[in-house]
Amino acid sequence: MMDIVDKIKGIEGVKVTVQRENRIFVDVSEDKVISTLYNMKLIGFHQLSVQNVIDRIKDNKFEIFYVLYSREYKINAIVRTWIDRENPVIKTADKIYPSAHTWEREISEMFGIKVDGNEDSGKPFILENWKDLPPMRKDFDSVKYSSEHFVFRHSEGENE
Amino acid sequence: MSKSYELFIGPNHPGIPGNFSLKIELEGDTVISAKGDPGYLHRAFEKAMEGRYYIQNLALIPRICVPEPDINEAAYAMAVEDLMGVEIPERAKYIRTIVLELARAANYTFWMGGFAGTLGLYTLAQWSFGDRDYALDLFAEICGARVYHMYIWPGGVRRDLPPGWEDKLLGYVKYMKERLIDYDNIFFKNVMFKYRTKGIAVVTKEQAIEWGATGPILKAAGVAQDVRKDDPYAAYEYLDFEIPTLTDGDSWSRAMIRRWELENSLNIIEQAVKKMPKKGPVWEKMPNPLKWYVPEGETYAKVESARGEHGFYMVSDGTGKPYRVAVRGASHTHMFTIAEKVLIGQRLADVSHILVSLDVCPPEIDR
Repeated sequence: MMDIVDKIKGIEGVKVTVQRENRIFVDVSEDKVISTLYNMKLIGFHQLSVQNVIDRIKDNKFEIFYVLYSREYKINAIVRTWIDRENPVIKTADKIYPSAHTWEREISEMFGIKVDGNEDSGKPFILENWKDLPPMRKDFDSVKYSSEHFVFRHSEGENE
Repeated sequence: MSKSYELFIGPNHPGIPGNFSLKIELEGDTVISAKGDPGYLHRAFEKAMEGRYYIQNLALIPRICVPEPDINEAAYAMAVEDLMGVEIPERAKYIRTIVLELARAANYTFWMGGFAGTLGLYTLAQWSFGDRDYALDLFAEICGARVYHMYIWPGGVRRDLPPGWEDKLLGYVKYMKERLIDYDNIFFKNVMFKYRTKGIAVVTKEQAIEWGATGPILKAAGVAQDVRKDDPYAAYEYLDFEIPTLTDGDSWSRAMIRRWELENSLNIIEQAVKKMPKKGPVWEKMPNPLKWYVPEGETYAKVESARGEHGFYMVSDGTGKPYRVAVRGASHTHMFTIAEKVLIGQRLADVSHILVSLDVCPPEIDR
Protein backbone atom coordinates (compact mmCIF):
# COMPACT_ATOMS: atom_id res chain seq x y z
CA MET A 1 0.00 0.00 0.00
CA MET A 2 2.86 2.38 0.76
CA ASP A 3 4.04 2.00 -2.87
CA ILE A 4 0.89 3.58 -4.16
CA VAL A 5 0.88 6.25 -1.44
CA ASP A 6 4.39 7.27 -2.52
CA LYS A 7 3.31 7.39 -6.15
CA ILE A 8 0.35 9.63 -5.30
CA LYS A 9 2.56 11.88 -3.19
CA GLY A 10 4.61 12.43 -6.35
CA ILE A 11 1.70 14.28 -7.97
CA GLU A 12 2.21 18.03 -7.72
CA GLY A 13 0.23 19.86 -5.04
CA VAL A 14 -1.50 16.93 -3.31
CA LYS A 15 -1.87 16.22 0.39
CA VAL A 16 -2.29 12.50 1.07
CA THR A 17 -3.93 11.05 4.19
CA VAL A 18 -4.33 7.33 4.78
CA GLN A 19 -7.73 6.94 6.44
CA ARG A 20 -7.48 3.17 6.91
CA GLU A 21 -6.51 0.10 4.93
CA ASN A 22 -7.56 0.54 1.28
CA ARG A 23 -8.85 4.11 1.78
CA ILE A 24 -6.77 7.18 0.95
CA PHE A 25 -7.79 10.84 0.90
CA VAL A 26 -6.06 13.00 -1.70
CA ASP A 27 -6.68 16.69 -1.08
CA VAL A 28 -5.86 19.15 -3.79
CA SER A 29 -6.55 22.78 -4.68
CA GLU A 30 -9.31 23.58 -7.13
CA ASP A 31 -6.96 24.55 -9.98
CA LYS A 32 -5.09 21.23 -9.83
CA VAL A 33 -7.99 18.81 -9.50
CA ILE A 34 -8.25 17.85 -13.18
CA SER A 35 -4.50 17.31 -13.59
CA THR A 36 -4.56 15.27 -10.36
CA LEU A 37 -7.38 13.08 -11.69
CA TYR A 38 -5.47 12.63 -14.93
CA ASN A 39 -2.37 11.54 -13.03
CA MET A 40 -4.38 9.27 -10.75
CA LYS A 41 -5.72 7.48 -13.82
CA LEU A 42 -2.19 7.08 -15.16
CA ILE A 43 -1.12 5.58 -11.82
CA GLY A 44 -3.86 2.97 -12.11
CA PHE A 45 -7.07 4.42 -10.66
CA HIS A 46 -9.13 3.38 -13.66
CA GLN A 47 -12.60 3.70 -12.18
CA LEU A 48 -14.63 6.67 -10.95
CA SER A 49 -17.11 5.15 -8.52
CA VAL A 50 -18.90 8.32 -7.50
CA GLN A 51 -18.47 12.06 -7.79
CA ASN A 52 -20.55 14.31 -5.59
CA VAL A 53 -20.61 17.37 -3.36
CA ILE A 54 -20.80 18.28 0.31
CA ASP A 55 -22.18 21.73 1.13
CA ARG A 56 -19.80 23.10 3.80
CA ILE A 57 -22.03 26.09 4.46
CA LYS A 58 -20.24 27.19 7.65
CA ASP A 59 -17.00 27.55 5.70
CA ASN A 60 -18.87 29.02 2.72
CA LYS A 61 -17.40 26.24 0.55
CA PHE A 62 -18.50 23.30 -1.55
CA GLU A 63 -16.41 20.17 -1.12
CA ILE A 64 -16.23 18.20 -4.37
CA PHE A 65 -15.16 14.60 -4.00
CA TYR A 66 -14.26 11.90 -6.52
CA VAL A 67 -14.12 8.30 -5.26
CA LEU A 68 -11.62 6.46 -7.46
CA TYR A 69 -10.75 2.79 -7.48
CA SER A 70 -7.67 0.88 -8.61
CA ARG A 71 -8.15 -2.79 -9.38
CA GLU A 72 -4.39 -3.28 -9.48
CA TYR A 73 -3.85 -2.01 -5.93
CA LYS A 74 -7.38 -2.74 -4.66
CA ILE A 75 -7.57 0.70 -3.10
CA ASN A 76 -10.10 3.52 -3.08
CA ALA A 77 -8.60 6.99 -3.31
CA ILE A 78 -10.90 9.91 -2.59
CA VAL A 79 -9.80 13.08 -4.34
CA ARG A 80 -11.23 16.16 -2.63
CA THR A 81 -11.22 19.82 -3.47
CA TRP A 82 -12.99 22.89 -2.15
CA ILE A 83 -14.56 25.76 -4.10
CA ASP A 84 -16.35 28.96 -3.06
CA ARG A 85 -20.10 28.76 -2.60
CA GLU A 86 -20.61 32.03 -4.45
CA ASN A 87 -20.82 31.50 -8.24
CA PRO A 88 -19.44 27.97 -7.98
CA VAL A 89 -17.75 26.55 -11.06
CA ILE A 90 -15.76 23.35 -11.61
CA LYS A 91 -14.15 21.90 -14.71
CA THR A 92 -15.49 18.71 -16.20
CA ALA A 93 -13.68 15.42 -15.59
CA ASP A 94 -15.62 13.53 -18.25
CA LYS A 95 -12.69 13.42 -20.67
CA ILE A 96 -10.76 11.45 -18.05
CA TYR A 97 -13.63 9.44 -16.56
CA PRO A 98 -16.65 9.22 -18.94
CA SER A 99 -19.00 8.37 -16.06
CA ALA A 100 -18.26 11.80 -14.54
CA HIS A 101 -20.50 13.32 -17.21
CA THR A 102 -23.72 12.19 -15.54
CA TRP A 103 -22.53 12.79 -11.99
CA GLU A 104 -21.75 16.36 -13.07
CA ARG A 105 -25.22 16.78 -14.56
CA GLU A 106 -26.62 15.79 -11.19
CA ILE A 107 -24.25 18.06 -9.26
CA SER A 108 -25.12 21.06 -11.42
CA GLU A 109 -28.83 20.51 -10.80
CA MET A 110 -28.75 19.56 -7.12
CA PHE A 111 -26.14 22.10 -5.96
CA GLY A 112 -26.28 24.79 -8.65
CA ILE A 113 -22.62 24.28 -9.57
CA LYS A 114 -21.70 25.14 -13.14
CA VAL A 115 -19.52 22.54 -14.83
CA ASP A 116 -17.30 24.05 -17.50
CA GLY A 117 -16.86 21.77 -20.50
CA ASN A 118 -19.93 19.64 -19.77
CA GLU A 119 -22.59 20.57 -22.32
CA ASP A 120 -25.36 19.13 -20.13
CA SER A 121 -24.48 21.27 -17.11
CA GLY A 122 -27.48 23.35 -16.08
CA LYS A 123 -29.97 21.29 -18.07
CA PRO A 124 -32.84 19.58 -16.20
CA PHE A 125 -31.90 16.06 -15.11
CA ILE A 126 -33.93 14.56 -12.27
CA LEU A 127 -36.04 17.58 -11.28
CA GLU A 128 -38.83 19.04 -13.38
CA ASN A 129 -39.67 22.75 -13.60
CA TRP A 130 -37.55 23.48 -10.53
CA LYS A 131 -37.48 27.19 -9.70
CA ASP A 132 -36.27 27.20 -6.09
CA LEU A 133 -32.77 27.02 -4.59
CA PRO A 134 -30.86 23.90 -5.69
CA PRO A 135 -32.37 21.35 -3.31
CA MET A 136 -29.25 19.65 -1.95
CA ARG A 137 -27.84 22.92 -0.63
CA LYS A 138 -27.95 23.20 3.14
CA ASP A 139 -29.86 26.50 3.02
CA PHE A 140 -32.71 24.89 1.08
CA ASP A 141 -35.48 24.18 3.59
CA SER A 142 -37.27 21.06 2.37
CA VAL A 143 -39.95 21.19 5.10
CA LYS A 144 -40.85 24.78 4.21
CA TYR A 145 -40.89 23.90 0.51
CA SER A 146 -43.19 20.95 1.12
CA SER A 147 -45.61 22.98 3.25
CA GLU A 148 -45.78 25.68 0.57
CA HIS A 149 -46.23 23.31 -2.38
CA PHE A 150 -48.15 20.30 -1.11
CA VAL A 151 -51.37 19.81 0.81
CA PHE A 152 -50.88 18.18 4.22
CA ARG A 153 -52.76 14.91 4.42
CA HIS A 154 -53.74 13.34 7.73
CA SER A 155 -53.34 9.61 7.98
CA GLU A 156 -56.49 7.56 8.27
CA GLY A 157 -57.61 7.32 11.88
CA GLU A 158 -55.40 10.17 13.00
CA ASN A 159 -57.05 12.85 15.17
CA GLU A 160 -57.70 16.10 13.35
CA MET B 1 -39.62 14.34 -44.68
CA SER B 2 -37.66 13.08 -41.69
CA LYS B 3 -36.57 9.47 -41.87
CA SER B 4 -36.32 9.05 -38.10
CA TYR B 5 -38.90 9.02 -35.33
CA GLU B 6 -38.87 9.10 -31.54
CA LEU B 7 -40.23 6.46 -29.22
CA PHE B 8 -40.58 6.43 -25.45
CA ILE B 9 -39.68 3.22 -23.63
CA GLY B 10 -41.14 3.70 -20.16
CA PRO B 11 -41.72 5.09 -17.56
CA ASN B 12 -43.78 1.90 -17.36
CA HIS B 13 -42.50 -0.80 -19.63
CA PRO B 14 -41.64 -4.50 -19.35
CA GLY B 15 -38.05 -3.74 -20.32
CA ILE B 16 -37.53 -1.32 -17.45
CA PRO B 17 -37.53 -2.68 -13.89
CA GLY B 18 -39.08 0.39 -12.27
CA ASN B 19 -40.20 3.84 -13.30
CA PHE B 20 -37.69 5.16 -15.76
CA SER B 21 -38.00 6.50 -19.24
CA LEU B 22 -35.77 6.01 -22.22
CA LYS B 23 -36.24 8.18 -25.26
CA ILE B 24 -34.98 6.44 -28.38
CA GLU B 25 -34.73 7.72 -31.90
CA LEU B 26 -35.13 5.16 -34.67
CA GLU B 27 -34.72 4.81 -38.37
CA GLY B 28 -36.88 1.90 -39.38
CA ASP B 29 -36.38 -0.41 -36.43
CA THR B 30 -32.74 0.56 -35.83
CA VAL B 31 -31.86 2.72 -32.84
CA ILE B 32 -29.84 5.79 -33.82
CA SER B 33 -29.81 7.48 -30.40
CA ALA B 34 -30.92 6.70 -26.85
CA LYS B 35 -31.31 9.09 -23.93
CA GLY B 36 -32.24 8.13 -20.39
CA ASP B 37 -34.81 10.32 -18.65
CA PRO B 38 -34.71 9.85 -14.87
CA GLY B 39 -36.74 11.50 -12.10
CA TYR B 40 -39.90 9.40 -11.89
CA LEU B 41 -38.69 7.72 -8.71
CA HIS B 42 -36.87 10.63 -7.09
CA ARG B 43 -37.79 10.63 -3.41
CA ALA B 44 -34.89 12.76 -2.16
CA PHE B 45 -33.41 9.98 -0.03
CA GLU B 46 -30.08 11.75 0.33
CA LYS B 47 -31.68 15.01 1.47
CA ALA B 48 -34.12 13.20 3.77
CA MET B 49 -31.26 11.35 5.47
CA GLU B 50 -29.69 14.63 6.56
CA GLY B 51 -32.76 15.44 8.65
CA ARG B 52 -33.12 12.09 10.41
CA TYR B 53 -31.33 10.33 13.22
CA TYR B 54 -28.97 7.55 12.23
CA ILE B 55 -31.42 4.90 13.35
CA GLN B 56 -34.35 6.53 11.54
CA ASN B 57 -32.52 6.26 8.23
CA LEU B 58 -32.61 2.48 8.50
CA ALA B 59 -36.29 2.58 7.57
CA LEU B 60 -35.53 4.75 4.56
CA ILE B 61 -32.49 3.27 2.85
CA PRO B 62 -33.75 -0.21 1.85
CA ARG B 63 -36.10 1.58 -0.52
CA ILE B 64 -33.18 2.72 -2.66
CA CYS B 65 -33.23 -0.68 -4.35
CA VAL B 66 -36.44 -2.67 -4.30
CA PRO B 67 -35.27 -6.06 -5.64
CA GLU B 68 -32.18 -6.13 -3.39
CA PRO B 69 -32.66 -3.77 -0.44
CA ASP B 70 -30.13 -5.35 1.93
CA ILE B 71 -27.09 -3.93 0.14
CA ASN B 72 -28.16 -0.47 1.29
CA GLU B 73 -28.48 -1.59 4.89
CA ALA B 74 -25.05 -3.21 4.77
CA ALA B 75 -23.22 -0.28 3.15
CA TYR B 76 -24.92 2.22 5.47
CA ALA B 77 -24.11 0.14 8.55
CA MET B 78 -20.51 -0.31 7.42
CA ALA B 79 -20.10 3.44 6.91
CA VAL B 80 -21.43 4.20 10.42
CA GLU B 81 -19.26 1.46 11.95
CA ASP B 82 -16.23 2.79 10.09
CA LEU B 83 -16.74 6.31 11.46
CA MET B 84 -17.38 4.96 14.97
CA GLY B 85 -14.54 2.44 14.90
CA VAL B 86 -16.85 -0.47 15.69
CA GLU B 87 -15.97 -4.10 14.94
CA ILE B 88 -19.03 -6.33 14.66
CA PRO B 89 -19.24 -9.81 16.29
CA GLU B 90 -18.17 -12.87 14.27
CA ARG B 91 -21.63 -14.43 14.19
CA ALA B 92 -23.07 -11.15 12.90
CA LYS B 93 -20.54 -11.17 10.05
CA TYR B 94 -21.77 -14.58 8.92
CA ILE B 95 -25.42 -13.67 9.30
CA ARG B 96 -24.84 -10.56 7.21
CA THR B 97 -23.16 -12.67 4.53
CA ILE B 98 -26.05 -15.12 4.49
CA VAL B 99 -28.64 -12.35 4.29
CA LEU B 100 -26.77 -10.52 1.53
CA GLU B 101 -26.36 -13.70 -0.51
CA LEU B 102 -29.98 -14.69 0.01
CA ALA B 103 -30.97 -11.23 -1.23
CA ARG B 104 -28.63 -11.61 -4.20
CA ALA B 105 -30.10 -15.03 -5.03
CA ALA B 106 -33.63 -13.60 -4.77
CA ASN B 107 -32.60 -10.69 -6.98
CA TYR B 108 -31.12 -12.94 -9.68
CA THR B 109 -34.16 -15.20 -9.56
CA PHE B 110 -36.40 -12.16 -10.03
CA TRP B 111 -34.10 -10.86 -12.78
CA MET B 112 -34.23 -14.16 -14.69
CA GLY B 113 -38.00 -13.90 -14.95
CA GLY B 114 -37.78 -10.32 -16.20
CA PHE B 115 -35.11 -11.19 -18.73
CA ALA B 116 -36.93 -14.24 -20.07
CA GLY B 117 -40.12 -12.15 -20.26
CA THR B 118 -38.45 -9.64 -22.59
CA LEU B 119 -37.66 -12.55 -24.92
CA GLY B 120 -41.25 -13.79 -24.79
CA LEU B 121 -40.55 -16.80 -22.58
CA TYR B 122 -43.08 -16.26 -19.83
CA THR B 123 -42.91 -19.77 -18.37
CA LEU B 124 -39.59 -18.93 -16.74
CA ALA B 125 -41.03 -15.65 -15.46
CA GLN B 126 -43.86 -17.53 -13.72
CA TRP B 127 -41.46 -20.06 -12.22
CA SER B 128 -38.82 -17.64 -11.05
CA PHE B 129 -41.23 -15.11 -9.53
CA GLY B 130 -42.71 -18.00 -7.57
CA ASP B 131 -39.29 -19.27 -6.48
CA ARG B 132 -38.24 -15.81 -5.34
CA ASP B 133 -41.12 -15.92 -2.89
CA TYR B 134 -39.44 -18.79 -1.00
CA ALA B 135 -36.52 -16.45 -0.29
CA LEU B 136 -38.92 -13.69 0.80
CA ASP B 137 -40.63 -16.14 3.18
CA LEU B 138 -37.26 -16.77 4.81
CA PHE B 139 -36.74 -13.03 5.23
CA ALA B 140 -40.17 -12.71 6.79
CA GLU B 141 -39.15 -15.24 9.43
CA ILE B 142 -36.03 -13.38 10.50
CA CYS B 143 -37.39 -9.86 10.52
CA GLY B 144 -41.14 -9.88 9.90
CA ALA B 145 -40.90 -8.24 6.50
CA ARG B 146 -40.69 -9.77 3.05
CA VAL B 147 -39.24 -6.97 0.93
CA TYR B 148 -37.72 -4.24 3.13
CA HIS B 149 -35.93 -5.98 5.95
CA MET B 150 -34.18 -3.34 8.10
CA TYR B 151 -32.32 -6.28 9.55
CA ILE B 152 -28.67 -5.29 9.10
CA TRP B 153 -27.98 -2.55 11.61
CA PRO B 154 -24.87 -0.62 12.61
CA GLY B 155 -23.17 -2.92 15.11
CA GLY B 156 -24.38 -6.19 13.56
CA VAL B 157 -27.88 -7.45 12.88
CA ARG B 158 -31.14 -6.61 14.63
CA ARG B 159 -31.73 -9.99 16.27
CA ASP B 160 -30.46 -13.53 16.15
CA LEU B 161 -31.80 -16.10 13.71
CA PRO B 162 -34.97 -17.89 14.84
CA PRO B 163 -34.57 -21.57 15.90
CA GLY B 164 -34.64 -23.94 12.94
CA TRP B 165 -34.20 -21.17 10.37
CA GLU B 166 -30.84 -22.45 9.14
CA ASP B 167 -32.42 -25.82 8.24
CA LYS B 168 -35.16 -24.06 6.29
CA LEU B 169 -32.50 -21.99 4.56
CA LEU B 170 -30.54 -25.08 3.55
CA GLY B 171 -33.81 -26.59 2.31
CA TYR B 172 -34.25 -23.51 0.10
CA VAL B 173 -30.67 -23.87 -1.20
CA LYS B 174 -31.23 -27.53 -2.04
CA TYR B 175 -34.52 -26.73 -3.78
CA MET B 176 -32.96 -23.90 -5.82
CA LYS B 177 -30.00 -26.03 -6.90
CA GLU B 178 -32.40 -28.63 -8.25
CA ARG B 179 -34.49 -25.90 -9.77
CA LEU B 180 -31.46 -24.50 -11.62
CA ILE B 181 -31.42 -27.67 -13.74
CA ASP B 182 -34.98 -26.87 -14.80
CA TYR B 183 -34.00 -23.27 -15.52
CA ASP B 184 -31.09 -24.48 -17.63
CA ASN B 185 -33.27 -26.86 -19.60
CA ILE B 186 -36.05 -24.40 -20.29
CA PHE B 187 -34.01 -21.27 -20.78
CA PHE B 188 -30.22 -21.18 -20.58
CA LYS B 189 -29.79 -24.14 -22.96
CA ASN B 190 -32.63 -22.93 -25.16
CA VAL B 191 -31.49 -22.06 -28.70
CA MET B 192 -33.99 -19.21 -28.84
CA PHE B 193 -32.22 -17.51 -25.91
CA LYS B 194 -28.87 -18.01 -27.63
CA TYR B 195 -30.02 -16.72 -31.03
CA ARG B 196 -31.65 -13.63 -29.54
CA THR B 197 -28.75 -12.61 -27.29
CA LYS B 198 -25.43 -13.84 -28.78
CA GLY B 199 -23.36 -10.97 -30.15
CA ILE B 200 -25.96 -8.37 -29.12
CA ALA B 201 -24.98 -5.12 -27.34
CA VAL B 202 -21.33 -6.04 -26.88
CA VAL B 203 -19.35 -4.18 -24.22
CA THR B 204 -15.70 -5.03 -24.77
CA LYS B 205 -13.19 -5.37 -21.95
CA GLU B 206 -11.57 -2.04 -22.84
CA GLN B 207 -14.95 -0.29 -23.02
CA ALA B 208 -16.15 -1.79 -19.76
CA ILE B 209 -13.04 -0.55 -17.94
CA GLU B 210 -13.05 2.85 -19.63
CA TRP B 211 -16.77 3.44 -19.00
CA GLY B 212 -16.56 2.45 -15.34
CA ALA B 213 -18.64 -0.74 -15.48
CA THR B 214 -18.82 -2.98 -12.43
CA GLY B 215 -20.55 -6.25 -11.58
CA PRO B 216 -21.84 -8.67 -14.25
CA ILE B 217 -21.18 -6.23 -17.12
CA LEU B 218 -17.48 -6.13 -16.24
CA LYS B 219 -17.30 -9.88 -15.51
CA ALA B 220 -19.00 -10.69 -18.82
CA ALA B 221 -16.25 -8.68 -20.53
CA GLY B 222 -13.54 -10.74 -18.85
CA VAL B 223 -12.57 -8.74 -15.74
CA ALA B 224 -12.76 -10.54 -12.39
CA GLN B 225 -13.47 -7.52 -10.20
CA ASP B 226 -15.73 -8.01 -7.20
CA VAL B 227 -15.87 -6.09 -3.91
CA ARG B 228 -16.43 -9.36 -2.00
CA LYS B 229 -12.96 -10.50 -3.10
CA ASP B 230 -11.09 -7.23 -3.53
CA ASP B 231 -12.15 -5.45 -0.34
CA PRO B 232 -13.85 -8.17 1.73
CA TYR B 233 -16.55 -7.26 4.22
CA ALA B 234 -18.87 -9.33 6.44
CA ALA B 235 -17.49 -12.93 6.39
CA TYR B 236 -16.45 -13.15 2.74
CA GLU B 237 -12.76 -13.39 3.55
CA TYR B 238 -13.39 -16.70 5.36
CA LEU B 239 -15.29 -18.25 2.45
CA ASP B 240 -14.13 -19.94 -0.70
CA PHE B 241 -15.72 -18.82 -3.96
CA GLU B 242 -14.67 -17.89 -7.47
CA ILE B 243 -15.64 -14.89 -9.55
CA PRO B 244 -17.11 -16.09 -12.86
CA THR B 245 -15.95 -14.35 -16.02
CA LEU B 246 -16.63 -14.61 -19.75
CA THR B 247 -15.04 -12.75 -22.61
CA ASP B 248 -17.66 -11.85 -25.20
CA GLY B 249 -19.33 -9.04 -23.24
CA ASP B 250 -22.67 -9.50 -25.01
CA SER B 251 -26.21 -9.83 -23.70
CA TRP B 252 -25.82 -13.65 -23.56
CA SER B 253 -22.62 -13.41 -21.49
CA ARG B 254 -24.19 -11.02 -19.01
CA ALA B 255 -27.15 -13.37 -18.57
CA MET B 256 -24.87 -16.40 -18.10
CA ILE B 257 -22.75 -14.55 -15.53
CA ARG B 258 -25.88 -13.87 -13.49
CA ARG B 259 -26.92 -17.50 -13.74
CA TRP B 260 -23.51 -18.60 -12.37
CA GLU B 261 -23.58 -15.90 -9.73
CA LEU B 262 -26.90 -17.30 -8.54
CA GLU B 263 -25.27 -20.70 -8.13
CA ASN B 264 -22.31 -19.00 -6.45
CA SER B 265 -24.64 -17.36 -3.92
CA LEU B 266 -26.25 -20.69 -3.07
CA ASN B 267 -22.81 -22.23 -2.48
CA ILE B 268 -21.71 -19.29 -0.33
CA ILE B 269 -24.84 -19.64 1.81
CA GLU B 270 -24.10 -23.34 2.39
CA GLN B 271 -20.52 -22.61 3.39
CA ALA B 272 -21.47 -19.72 5.64
CA VAL B 273 -24.08 -21.79 7.50
CA LYS B 274 -21.47 -24.52 8.03
CA LYS B 275 -18.71 -22.19 9.23
CA MET B 276 -20.82 -19.75 11.28
CA PRO B 277 -20.20 -19.79 15.05
CA LYS B 278 -23.24 -21.53 16.54
CA LYS B 279 -23.49 -19.17 19.47
CA GLY B 280 -22.40 -15.69 20.35
CA PRO B 281 -23.57 -12.09 20.18
CA VAL B 282 -24.98 -10.74 16.93
CA TRP B 283 -24.92 -7.05 17.82
CA GLU B 284 -22.26 -4.81 19.27
CA LYS B 285 -24.18 -2.55 21.60
CA MET B 286 -24.68 0.90 20.11
CA PRO B 287 -25.67 4.13 21.93
CA ASN B 288 -29.22 5.17 22.73
CA PRO B 289 -30.74 6.15 19.35
CA LEU B 290 -31.42 9.71 20.53
CA LYS B 291 -27.87 10.15 21.82
CA TRP B 292 -26.16 8.30 19.00
CA TYR B 293 -23.42 10.74 18.06
CA VAL B 294 -21.09 9.62 15.30
CA PRO B 295 -17.57 11.10 15.43
CA GLU B 296 -16.77 13.79 12.90
CA GLY B 297 -15.30 12.48 9.66
CA GLU B 298 -16.03 11.11 6.21
CA THR B 299 -15.77 7.66 4.73
CA TYR B 300 -16.76 5.49 1.79
CA ALA B 301 -18.21 2.02 2.42
CA LYS B 302 -19.01 -0.32 -0.44
CA VAL B 303 -20.48 -3.74 -1.08
CA GLU B 304 -21.00 -5.88 -4.18
CA SER B 305 -24.61 -5.74 -5.28
CA ALA B 306 -26.19 -7.93 -7.95
CA ARG B 307 -25.48 -5.08 -10.36
CA GLY B 308 -21.98 -4.08 -9.27
CA GLU B 309 -20.35 -1.77 -6.77
CA HIS B 310 -22.83 -0.19 -4.38
CA GLY B 311 -21.49 2.40 -1.96
CA PHE B 312 -22.35 5.00 0.62
CA TYR B 313 -20.21 8.10 1.06
CA MET B 314 -21.02 9.32 4.56
CA VAL B 315 -20.05 12.54 6.26
CA SER B 316 -20.57 13.16 9.97
CA ASP B 317 -20.23 16.47 11.79
CA GLY B 318 -20.28 14.80 15.19
CA THR B 319 -24.03 15.18 15.76
CA GLY B 320 -26.83 12.61 15.87
CA LYS B 321 -27.74 12.99 12.20
CA PRO B 322 -25.54 12.45 9.14
CA TYR B 323 -24.30 15.70 7.62
CA ARG B 324 -24.31 14.21 4.11
CA VAL B 325 -24.87 10.80 2.60
CA ALA B 326 -24.19 10.22 -1.09
CA VAL B 327 -25.30 6.92 -2.57
CA ARG B 328 -23.42 5.22 -5.40
CA GLY B 329 -25.57 2.76 -7.28
CA ALA B 330 -24.07 0.77 -10.13
CA SER B 331 -27.07 1.58 -12.35
CA HIS B 332 -26.14 5.27 -12.49
CA THR B 333 -23.09 4.52 -14.61
CA HIS B 334 -24.59 1.52 -16.37
CA MET B 335 -27.53 3.50 -17.71
CA PHE B 336 -26.01 6.76 -18.83
CA THR B 337 -22.44 5.84 -19.66
CA ILE B 338 -23.08 2.38 -21.07
CA ALA B 339 -26.71 1.75 -22.12
CA GLU B 340 -26.99 5.02 -24.04
CA LYS B 341 -23.96 3.98 -26.09
CA VAL B 342 -24.52 0.26 -26.64
CA LEU B 343 -28.15 0.69 -27.69
CA ILE B 344 -27.10 2.62 -30.78
CA GLY B 345 -27.32 0.40 -33.85
CA GLN B 346 -29.49 -2.22 -32.13
CA ARG B 347 -32.97 -3.23 -33.24
CA LEU B 348 -36.09 -2.09 -31.43
CA ALA B 349 -37.04 -5.69 -30.58
CA ASP B 350 -33.75 -6.09 -28.69
CA VAL B 351 -33.90 -2.88 -26.64
CA SER B 352 -35.79 -4.44 -23.73
CA HIS B 353 -33.57 -7.45 -23.25
CA ILE B 354 -30.45 -5.30 -23.62
CA LEU B 355 -31.68 -3.02 -20.84
CA VAL B 356 -32.50 -5.98 -18.62
CA SER B 357 -29.13 -7.59 -19.45
CA LEU B 358 -27.52 -4.38 -18.15
CA ASP B 359 -29.87 -4.63 -15.13
CA VAL B 360 -30.57 -0.95 -14.69
CA CYS B 361 -32.36 -0.34 -11.39
CA PRO B 362 -33.99 3.13 -11.60
CA PRO B 363 -34.22 3.88 -7.85
CA GLU B 364 -30.43 3.72 -7.70
CA ILE B 365 -30.31 6.52 -10.26
CA ASP B 366 -33.02 8.77 -8.85
CA ARG B 367 -32.37 8.22 -5.12
